[in-house]
Amino acid sequence: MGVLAGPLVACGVPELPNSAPVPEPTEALRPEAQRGAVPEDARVVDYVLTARYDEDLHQIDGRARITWRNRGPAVVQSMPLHLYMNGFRAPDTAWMQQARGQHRGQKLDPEHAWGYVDVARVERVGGEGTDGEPGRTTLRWAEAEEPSLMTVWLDEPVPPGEAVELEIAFTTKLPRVFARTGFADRYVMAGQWFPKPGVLEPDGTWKAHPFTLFSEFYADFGDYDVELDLPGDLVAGATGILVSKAEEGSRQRLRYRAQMVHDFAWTAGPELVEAWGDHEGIRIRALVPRERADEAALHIEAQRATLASMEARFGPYPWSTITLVDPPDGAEGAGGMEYPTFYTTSPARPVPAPLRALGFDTRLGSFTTIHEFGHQYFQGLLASDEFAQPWLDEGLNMYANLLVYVDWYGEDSGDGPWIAMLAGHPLSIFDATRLQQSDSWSIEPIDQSAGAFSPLAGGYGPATYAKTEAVMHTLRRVVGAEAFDAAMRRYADRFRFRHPTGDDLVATLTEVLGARVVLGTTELGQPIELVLDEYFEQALETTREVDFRVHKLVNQPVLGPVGWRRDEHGTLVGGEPPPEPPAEGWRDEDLEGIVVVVRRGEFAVPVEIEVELGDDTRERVLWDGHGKYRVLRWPGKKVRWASIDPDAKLVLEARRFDNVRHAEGERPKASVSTEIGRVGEATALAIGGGLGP
Amino acid sequence: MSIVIAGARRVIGAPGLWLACWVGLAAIAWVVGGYVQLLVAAAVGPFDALDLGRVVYGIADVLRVYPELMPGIAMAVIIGGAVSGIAWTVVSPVVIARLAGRTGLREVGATALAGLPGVVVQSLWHVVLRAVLVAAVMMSAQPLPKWGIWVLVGVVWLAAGVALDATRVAVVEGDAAPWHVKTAWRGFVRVARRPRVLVPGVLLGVGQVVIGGGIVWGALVGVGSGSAWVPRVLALVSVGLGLWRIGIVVEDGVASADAE
Repeated sequence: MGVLAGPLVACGVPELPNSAPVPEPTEALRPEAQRGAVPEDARVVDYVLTARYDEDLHQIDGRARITWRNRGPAVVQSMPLHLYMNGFRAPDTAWMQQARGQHRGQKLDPEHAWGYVDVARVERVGGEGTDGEPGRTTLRWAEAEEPSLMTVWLDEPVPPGEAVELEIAFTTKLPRVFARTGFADRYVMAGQWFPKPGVLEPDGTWKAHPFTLFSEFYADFGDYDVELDLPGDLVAGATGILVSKAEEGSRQRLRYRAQMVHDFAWTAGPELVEAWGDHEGIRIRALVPRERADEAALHIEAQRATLASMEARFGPYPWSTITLVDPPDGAEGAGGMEYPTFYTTSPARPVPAPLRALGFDTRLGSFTTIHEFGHQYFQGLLASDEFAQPWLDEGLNMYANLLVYVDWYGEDSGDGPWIAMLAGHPLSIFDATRLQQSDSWSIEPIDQSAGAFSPLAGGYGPATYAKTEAVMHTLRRVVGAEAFDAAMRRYADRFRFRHPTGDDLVATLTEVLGARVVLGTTELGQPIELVLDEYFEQALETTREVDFRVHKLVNQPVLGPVGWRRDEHGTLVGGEPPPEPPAEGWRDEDLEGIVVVVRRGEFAVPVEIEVELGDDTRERVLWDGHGKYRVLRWPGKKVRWASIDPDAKLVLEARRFDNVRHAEGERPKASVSTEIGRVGEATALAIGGGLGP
Repeated sequence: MSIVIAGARRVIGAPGLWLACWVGLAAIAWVVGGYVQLLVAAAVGPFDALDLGRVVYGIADVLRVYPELMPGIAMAVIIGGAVSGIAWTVVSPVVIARLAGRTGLREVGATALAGLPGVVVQSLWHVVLRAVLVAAVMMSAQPLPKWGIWVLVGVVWLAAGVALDATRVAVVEGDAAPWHVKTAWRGFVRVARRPRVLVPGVLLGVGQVVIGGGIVWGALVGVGSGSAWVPRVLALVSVGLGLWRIGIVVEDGVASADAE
């Protein structure tokens, strides 16, 4: 349970019990016995950063000493570096052109619109210098045409296995925060504030991308030693652990250390209240605005539940601390962003008690905390390229977020946990995923780079987040949770502190699940299989949609032995007329139930069909889903209703109301039209009653 | 005898009126509900089954696939409300005449018919005055927190309803000028000067609003399992509260006339 430290004296702020803070960990990484081994070759780039924040100018004067190791196969003569803050420099940057001055509903402030990082000097440190100091060589560097990238030309090539040490002096100007980073009055959130080298891939090519609206980040792991010089009254939080703190007049010097992370961010504000929690020796620190101090416990509870779920599913969290920040009002643009061992969330306001008493509730208040922490794994630990394959972090994280709810709350809606409760009726988290499917869900394939998504088409979010989540959960439900969870665990174990790709994920899943997963057999004993390659190809590379429908359901008289037929001598015999329908109606055994199911979507996937027969028995048939339709017959039996995907395994299928159909004369227990009609009638009664007499 | 009790007695003394008002309201609502049901049934065709284990998704799925249903449903409910409002206006002279103690179809009908044009005109004046009043309150209440503004507007809205009752009673049972806006205004003045009418009238209005919320909530809770008669019976109570409110105003009018 998280508790607040320090008296909360502001009017209207709930007083919570004081408690000593959970002590700052002494090591940035947890003990090896808890976190597992860290591969030595994963450590590529170390930073020593110093930064002085001028809150009047909203400016950071910084210096970065970067030690970069060449883990590639070839000599390196130049290095690309990211200058992400330059994405905010002018309206013609790649980021601004796409964002058009807004981000997730937050708008650019014309008075403090622009941010930038201005590199003043780049030096190589090494060799012999004067006074026992290492030598310094000024290097040539230049911004690219797109200013979020620059290139540094080394004076000496760096052979494989060797390292180079650069020192960069820079100034970072912060905008008023509307897109992750910036200031709001005295509050400041500094993310992507210093120059960062690109990633040298194993094939010797550099990965460094222009900063665009949907592109997030990609960097190598390493250690950070950071000294922040801040106004003395600000409460700060940052990546890693606080090593020392010194007050110097009206200012404070904070020194942080982080190990095996690929970024460093920090925040500070005058009205942030601290709260602490702990999970298995991992220190949880929450920074929340004073006016929302009572929400800290909610964040910490969600944080604990998320840690418990994700450690169990994806392996141990390797770092000793996690800091969560709820930015104050006015700084909403900073909310909902992840950095190593540090993230920003959003208010966790619970639904008021009277509404809960009436059956209205939601668990979405914890979602941002769950989601942003989830990024500690996808991609804090499994550090995929967020620009090249954004679905690997956002989509897999969403997939994991739903499992956090499953682990936290159990199956309390009948189909996983509920995420919203409306007048006592639960909406399961999986059904909520289905409802998120919009027209934009399938206009662009999932597996493409962030830069390839059109901001105007609006396909990025639906495809990268919700559809990917549905792809993963559909597969989990079709092949079985146990096997799928084991496969995902292997992926997580194998690619900790690595840069996995989509191919790595598919290969690992295929390795564990098998290339062809047998789901059942046909009536003739032929296996019905889910071919993983086909599934992923359709799910990731195309815009195909899963959509089935019960096209037809009839019960018609069995064709009896009537009419002319030849006997054993070849003579035509019989000639009976077709039977008249009996006055009391056909008996069930005289009928043949016929169900035609149609695959309306282009996405082919095996699916079950369940029917209830006239004798109250139920039967299930598995269809491989490959043809356009499938005819199912039950001679001598009447079919009452048919249901496609009765266990709702296909989370990818949004439109399910046409998956169930009743035979003529068979009434469903409840119907959509009747229920909506009744609510309509009640609303008219309420309005009419309120208006008069 | 308390004016509130006396008003209630007038309603209890006219059970047929109460029942008739309720039947009228229920009929309008039933038509609305039936239309909505037909609308949805036409859209979903044979795929009308609702999974009782996931009613929110089942309904949301249909409304998402057929977004055109929502405006149709909303319009049906709005038209139903408008028809109810008009019907109450037309019926109100009958209600007032009956609660004033008139009996017999001919007597009630003659009084109501004579008062109807004036009631319609005064009701229109009240629409204007109520709008002006609510706007004025909203503007002057800006320093209050948002919920405070809404509560205040709600109280003013309900108080204006009591004033409308007073105006209608004055037209039907008194000798108030049927066309002049002053008659409408005097309704406001009258109830403002009579807290014993205004306060119970507003409280009964609050009761109607609460019951209205209860009707909708009950219908939502009962989706898939509830009885259609629960909201209908609650509406009977709501109609009774409305009649009681008018009964109090009528009683006040009678008491004033007796005093004069």
